[in-house]
Amino acid sequence: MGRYFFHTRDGHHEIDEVGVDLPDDAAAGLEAVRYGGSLLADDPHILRHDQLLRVECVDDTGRLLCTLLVTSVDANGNLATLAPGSE
Amino acid sequence: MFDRDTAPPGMGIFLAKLLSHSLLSTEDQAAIAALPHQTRHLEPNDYILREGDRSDICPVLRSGFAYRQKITASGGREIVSIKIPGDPLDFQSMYLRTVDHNLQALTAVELTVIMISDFERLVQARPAIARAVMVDILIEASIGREWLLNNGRRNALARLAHLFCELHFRLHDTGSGGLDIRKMPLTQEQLADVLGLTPVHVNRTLKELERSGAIARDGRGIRIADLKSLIATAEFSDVYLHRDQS
Repeated sequence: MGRYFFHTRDGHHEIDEVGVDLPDDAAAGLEAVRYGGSLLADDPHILRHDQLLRVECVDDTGRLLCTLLVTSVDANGNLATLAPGSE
Repeated sequence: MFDRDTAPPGMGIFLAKLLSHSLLSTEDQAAIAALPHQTRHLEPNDYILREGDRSDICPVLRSGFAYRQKITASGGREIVSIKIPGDPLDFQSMYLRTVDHNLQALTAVELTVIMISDFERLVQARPAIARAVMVDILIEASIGREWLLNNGRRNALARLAHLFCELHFRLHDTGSGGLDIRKMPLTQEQLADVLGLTPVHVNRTLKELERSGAIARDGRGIRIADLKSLIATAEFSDVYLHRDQS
């Protein structure tokens, strides 16, 4: 069991200074995915800002375990700007 | 003449809860206050009722907070109801045989425990009390419907703001003091289990509400700082709480 922290970048940097207790690194990696999914479901516009959502999973020594990256690309593989406005 | 202020400890807050939604004569109030009862103290997370139990008691929350929760077979937990001081915790067992969820103390709690058989006798003899029981059950069902909407269709910010608004008004209406003067009793993890969010998402959303000025956090907890702003963020309407039954 350890304390893990999940920092996000989606236009601005949001530092998680509270963290959450999880059994191990593998569980923390899954939690990063779950958190990213929850943010996306909550606000699909989140990808508009930097065309990227980044969730960094860090342990209590400050070691970066993994980064979840979510973005949208067009048919040519270029970063795609999502249409603004519509829900 | 019966005076609610002189009701036995534990019965006063119960009467306040019933009177928040139902008219009861002084005779009816006196009959409830005279019910035989015991007081029980429980620690946080202690079980009050377990799924599958056959209950013969009707515990009433005298102080502290409790919650109803259900768990999936793989261990996923959701808190499906939060109970506040004055709330009867199991009117349902007067009508249904088996407890269908777990009921646990959220904080340290004091319970006023009444036998269901005693309460049943009262309900059979006094129609206004029977009606108050039904209204209480119906309002809890209405709150459950609002929670379905809240968790299913509101974004995290509005969802969290909505829960704050609801608890504030429920506490206020039973004379317990709203969340503007007392702290939110739930931890970040418990809020996550209520709202179907991850704990980190709850923390991120709390920070957003704090930045907007709607809530304030200090070392001792979270309070409402700007109720109007919170209501606007939640798009809160109190119709489902049936606060005015007169």
